[in-house]
Amino acid sequence: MSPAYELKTDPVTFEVLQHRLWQITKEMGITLTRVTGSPISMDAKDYAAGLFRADGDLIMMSCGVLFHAVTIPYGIKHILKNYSENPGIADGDVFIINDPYICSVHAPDIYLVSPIFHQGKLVAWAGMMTHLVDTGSMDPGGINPRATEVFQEGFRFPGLKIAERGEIRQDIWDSVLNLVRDPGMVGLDLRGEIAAARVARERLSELIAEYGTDAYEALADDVIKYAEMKMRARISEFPDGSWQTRIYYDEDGMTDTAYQVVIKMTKEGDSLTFDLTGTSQQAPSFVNCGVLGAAAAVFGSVAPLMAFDVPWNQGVVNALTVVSPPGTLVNPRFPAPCSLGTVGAARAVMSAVQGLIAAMFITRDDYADDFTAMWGAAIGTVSLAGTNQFGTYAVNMLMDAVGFGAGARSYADGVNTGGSLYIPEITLPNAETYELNLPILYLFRREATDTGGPGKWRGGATLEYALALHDAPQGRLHVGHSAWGTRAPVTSGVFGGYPAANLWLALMRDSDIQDRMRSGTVPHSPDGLNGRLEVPRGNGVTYMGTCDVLWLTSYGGGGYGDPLDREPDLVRRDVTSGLVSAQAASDVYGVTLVASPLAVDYPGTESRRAQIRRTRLDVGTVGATGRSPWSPSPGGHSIQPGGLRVHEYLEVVDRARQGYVVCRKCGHELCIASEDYKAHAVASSRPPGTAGPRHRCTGQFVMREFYCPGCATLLDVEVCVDGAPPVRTTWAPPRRPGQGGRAQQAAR
Amino acid sequence: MSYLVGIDTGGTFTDCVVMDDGGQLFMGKAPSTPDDFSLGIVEAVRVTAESMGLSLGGLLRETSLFSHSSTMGINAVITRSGAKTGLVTTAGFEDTVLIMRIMGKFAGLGEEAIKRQVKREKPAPIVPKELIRGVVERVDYKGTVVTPLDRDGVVEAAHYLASQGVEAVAVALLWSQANPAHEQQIKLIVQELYPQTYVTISSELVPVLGEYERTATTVMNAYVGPLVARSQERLEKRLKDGGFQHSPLVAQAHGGCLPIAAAAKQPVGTMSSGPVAGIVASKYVADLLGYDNVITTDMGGTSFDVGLIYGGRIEPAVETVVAQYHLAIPTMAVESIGAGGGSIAWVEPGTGILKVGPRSAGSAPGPACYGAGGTEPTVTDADLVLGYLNPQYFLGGRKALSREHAWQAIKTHVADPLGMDVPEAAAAIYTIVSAHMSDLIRSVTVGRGYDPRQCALFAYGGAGPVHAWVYGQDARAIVVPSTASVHSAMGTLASDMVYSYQVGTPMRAPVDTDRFNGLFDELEARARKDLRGDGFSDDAISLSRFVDMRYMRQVHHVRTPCPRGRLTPRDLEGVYGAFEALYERLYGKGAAYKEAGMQVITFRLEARGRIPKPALRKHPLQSRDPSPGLKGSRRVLVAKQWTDVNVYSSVQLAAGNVIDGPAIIETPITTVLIGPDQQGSLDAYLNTTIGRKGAA
Repeated sequence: MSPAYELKTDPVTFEVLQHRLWQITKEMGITLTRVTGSPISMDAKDYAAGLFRADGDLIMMSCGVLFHAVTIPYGIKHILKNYSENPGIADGDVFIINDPYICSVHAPDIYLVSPIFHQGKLVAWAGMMTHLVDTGSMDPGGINPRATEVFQEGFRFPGLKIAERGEIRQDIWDSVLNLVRDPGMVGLDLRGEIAAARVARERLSELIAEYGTDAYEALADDVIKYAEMKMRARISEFPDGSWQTRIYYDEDGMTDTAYQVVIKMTKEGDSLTFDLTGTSQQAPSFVNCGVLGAAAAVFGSVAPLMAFDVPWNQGVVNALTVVSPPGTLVNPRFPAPCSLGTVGAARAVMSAVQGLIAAMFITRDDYADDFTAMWGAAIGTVSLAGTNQFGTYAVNMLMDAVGFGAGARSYADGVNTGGSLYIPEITLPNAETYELNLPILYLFRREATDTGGPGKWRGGATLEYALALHDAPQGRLHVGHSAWGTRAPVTSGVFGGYPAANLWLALMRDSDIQDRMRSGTVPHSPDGLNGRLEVPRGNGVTYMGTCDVLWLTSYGGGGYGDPLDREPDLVRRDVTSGLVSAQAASDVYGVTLVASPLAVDYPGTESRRAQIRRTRLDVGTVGATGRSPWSPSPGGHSIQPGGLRVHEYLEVVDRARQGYVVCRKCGHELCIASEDYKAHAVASSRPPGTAGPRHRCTGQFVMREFYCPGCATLLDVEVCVDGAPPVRTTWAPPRRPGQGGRAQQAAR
Repeated sequence: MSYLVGIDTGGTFTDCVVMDDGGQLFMGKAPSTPDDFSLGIVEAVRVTAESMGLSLGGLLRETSLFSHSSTMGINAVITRSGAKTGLVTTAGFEDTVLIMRIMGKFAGLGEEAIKRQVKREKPAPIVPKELIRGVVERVDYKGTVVTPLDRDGVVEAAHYLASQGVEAVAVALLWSQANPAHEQQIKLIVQELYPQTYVTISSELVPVLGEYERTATTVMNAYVGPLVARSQERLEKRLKDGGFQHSPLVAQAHGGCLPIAAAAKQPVGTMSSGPVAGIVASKYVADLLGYDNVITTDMGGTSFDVGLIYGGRIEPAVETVVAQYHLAIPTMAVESIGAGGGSIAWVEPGTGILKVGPRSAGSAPGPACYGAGGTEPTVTDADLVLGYLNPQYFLGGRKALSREHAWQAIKTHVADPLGMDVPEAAAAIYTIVSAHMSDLIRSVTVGRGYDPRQCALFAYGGAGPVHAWVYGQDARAIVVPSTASVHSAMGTLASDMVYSYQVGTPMRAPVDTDRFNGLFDELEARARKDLRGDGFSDDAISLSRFVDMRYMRQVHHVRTPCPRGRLTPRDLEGVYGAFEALYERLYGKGAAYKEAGMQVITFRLEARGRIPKPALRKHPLQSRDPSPGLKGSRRVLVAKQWTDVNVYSSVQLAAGNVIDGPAIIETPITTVLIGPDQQGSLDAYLNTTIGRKGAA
């Protein structure tokens, strides 16, 4: 037996049964999504299905939305604690729970959990989640831009027995469906969850009958322990240190208040801590998330980025600590509303964590291909409610915005319309599927120009669509929209890559769209229609009439590295395929093109790029944030091999027991590592158009850039509230991984 | 004498099987010739003819049916060597086939690849953005024209694509399945301007709901069309030159064959026809043996493929994925995991867990025991160390195996790190890979509401029969078909002519009975015309109707059988009931939610022209005593004990022989293992059936 082997189950049986459990949860997930058949579960994969230990800890989960790996255990534990005696817990029972002050990140995420007994003993739980189209909240769709307290956000069950010993309680069932506007669809969701519980019960019972309760219980413990061992080994591979980041939430649905989410990630030995101290106070509106939102969101990014070869279960969660201060956006005090939740504050956390992991991963060459700039950070969801062409009242959430661009990588562009990092198998419904179910007609649905964050590697482009009403019996639909990142580009690039362009949500009111469709003269962009352009606040409630056009551009991915370092021919290719405009090619990438056939003018590009670099140094000042320029130490200005790479363009060089931050391109020494390098870089507030024609900063937001004083390479871009201090970026003296801490053998 | 010929063109070998009118089979192989597959095909026929004492011409002149499966199309897609293809689509939706509903990033990938999100890519586009042209037009869900077709724009697009040198044009517009007029007009315009161009329109090829899948299918069809057409012309000519007097048939992904002319219009239909042909062959053998329910298992070098026949019908696939694209062509369900003879066993650093796969040593360098430079232990290495394989008689002696290399690889990479001895480690590898395969079988059967105990399990592929005695234990019997070595070729030979028609016309239940009947009448008229044109008489034609139904506002569809004839509203109630019953069987009691309402989405007609075939020749049953086939014994590790087991040579065994396990049968292409509690018997067709001792 290997010394590293600490499990109770022998390594062969472990592998055999682990695979079997995985197959069971996979089957649960397939059953759930196929029964529900709602586009939210089936296409956006907004579901979860897993097996949990008798105490509620997660053993194994099927890939839906990763958030729920963290949250469902709290629901089960709540039920165990409060309802074991009254009404009691028996085999075949199913409890419904969705209280964001207990476990759910927002109320529309409905958990059904069902205890599994073997020979009279509680051995496991099946836990499922679907996102309902309605919860009976003040606005259709369960997400409520106008809510001021959680009581307006629909039903909120702390654990209600909806099925008893395998039979649905008809009175409870009817009561739940009585609360919602769309009982047909909600009914399907609940049935899907129940079907998955049935699969779990049958398959697990077979496994236990075959191997015995003791072997199964040992296995359940081992699968969790195994994941924890692997996760801690992975963490140990990186140098100890801490990294900080900040992301803005640019409005709250009522006012233009900006909220910041601040995260400090500390890696020490084999554990990772995410401390959200410094995050803004809670909002008066629905943009908050449920109390577990931060922990769920951290897991949402850590699992696919760090635990890609580890079972996604409690073991991974155990290696993470999340500090989420009460009374803030990410841990509001009851009864604050929080129905945006998963796609509100929690999503901000999830996105910001991606940047932190990039900063840690770049310190190791063998992980250089494993991180990305931020994927489309903020979502624009649209719920359409009203009578459809079949005369039925229906609520539908349009999932088009999930066509996010993926973040750029150290070796490649981000994937265009690449989906969501924390929903591995997310899909986009066909336009025809929507048009079959809803009284709408799409005008276009395409990958949008200049939406991916520019960089040496470009962020993935995102999806853009416009639609009008069609065959709507009442000529009108209710529109609930929740979009953030409209006032500032919140999807950051990494290591000098630019953020992706802002999310765009607009209505062209009282337009001539119907005539234009008949005559075949629909313009390329809705602002070419004759009508009144209305750009509402990102979060809100409105309506659409027959002459209105709804127009939404989702978020691309952040860029990687300085766009002036991008291979010019790749820029030419992007212009040809329409992903980058000619204007951005010249102004952002510094690439000069000559037309027909489109070709790179290399000398022209050289001089254009030199000109942009000169401008950078001209407009910016060293120490713009109040620090004096750094005087290079004797022997500076040359790259010392063997420094610790901490950034695409920076490394920390150890000299005379002191770490120095040095530019990897020109050798310029910026400062000692314990000082904030940005204070010694050339800094400048730049018009957001510097990042691209679709980038905007509205109100209090500004875009700041930091350049190497030696070679004018773009080192970092921050979008923040005017006057905010830069995010402090320092490095401890380069400590090699494995020094100190409870380092374990690498798991690679 | 007259002959039937079946061909399977694989990546490495082209297999041929010939049946004479006495029902006797002859088999042969030749290396595949990717530059011109027809060469390898003709060579395989020649080799087979020679084994029958005939010349190529002697065989071909007497051949009444020549059916083949082709990997031409899929090869062209994988290597991106198809025709330069342009796409004409609805303006505003040019990117549909690039967006791929996001699914292109993970379609067909295993769990490990899917979890590692950062590394995932969409496949390289088959049609680059520059060759996609939008034209102004729009049709709605009812088929009503919202925006008329801009014919000038079509002309402009045609000229542009021609100027770019495209050889093929795909046309896929929104809602063309509801109203094909615009696509038809575009086809006429392009063909008039550029008659040489290969044009495919989606409303003819796959008139079903869902613009991404429809477009992807159409694009792929155009992409491989010219190539496949040329290749089939070459084959037709070579066969004709060789003396063949009819037209060859082409195997399709739906499990039937089409005449070469019909197949040339939808070459995308040949994609993934190879694995499906294996299931068709299994069905042929199962029909002879009287099995209605069969699990088919094909374990090759890198993957383990499972299909299902239930109630005499091959289970259709819910979705069709080819090279990460979702296609709208019907195919048969084949579930796959990365478990094959070449799957690599490894001990996970830091945790000490033994893993098998999904990485494979492939055929180069191959398992360590091949002695071709492979140092990592594979499933085949474990099989060898355990004594299951004969190092001197692997693949009929065509490849010598090195037990030393296998031993060393397992020792270094598995046994030593785990503190086990080498045979113990080999047994662990065997146990894990077998368990993974059992899990997949359970998911395909139990997971879809079927009981594996009511099924026979067919094992083929090089490695299947070595492992089937373990992974097939839940089945009522394990069958190693005698044609296992050329199973897919046998499948093409056994196929019927099958036309598959589908029309996506959503109708809410209760449907308009006249419209419903009218649609099927129309399809049936087309089917009869097509099959009569191929020379089938009415009594050789069988038609089966299906409707894909769903609950309103649901995404997923259930294929529901539907009676023929003019249906009354009462009959239709029966169809709705059948849908609901199927739904509940698949998803459990309570999962059906009638209140949401029901909808018919797609009308399907399967039209089968039965191709008469001689009865497969039966061998007279001999005694139960297998000793004439005994070639020796060898020590193997089964059920944790080293045991001397009898080794039989399949070529010396006779119909009627019964072999008590544990025992091994060596055939020229595989090794059949019979477990300690099992016995194997050879039937009149020389298939080996393994069951519990005393059960037979």
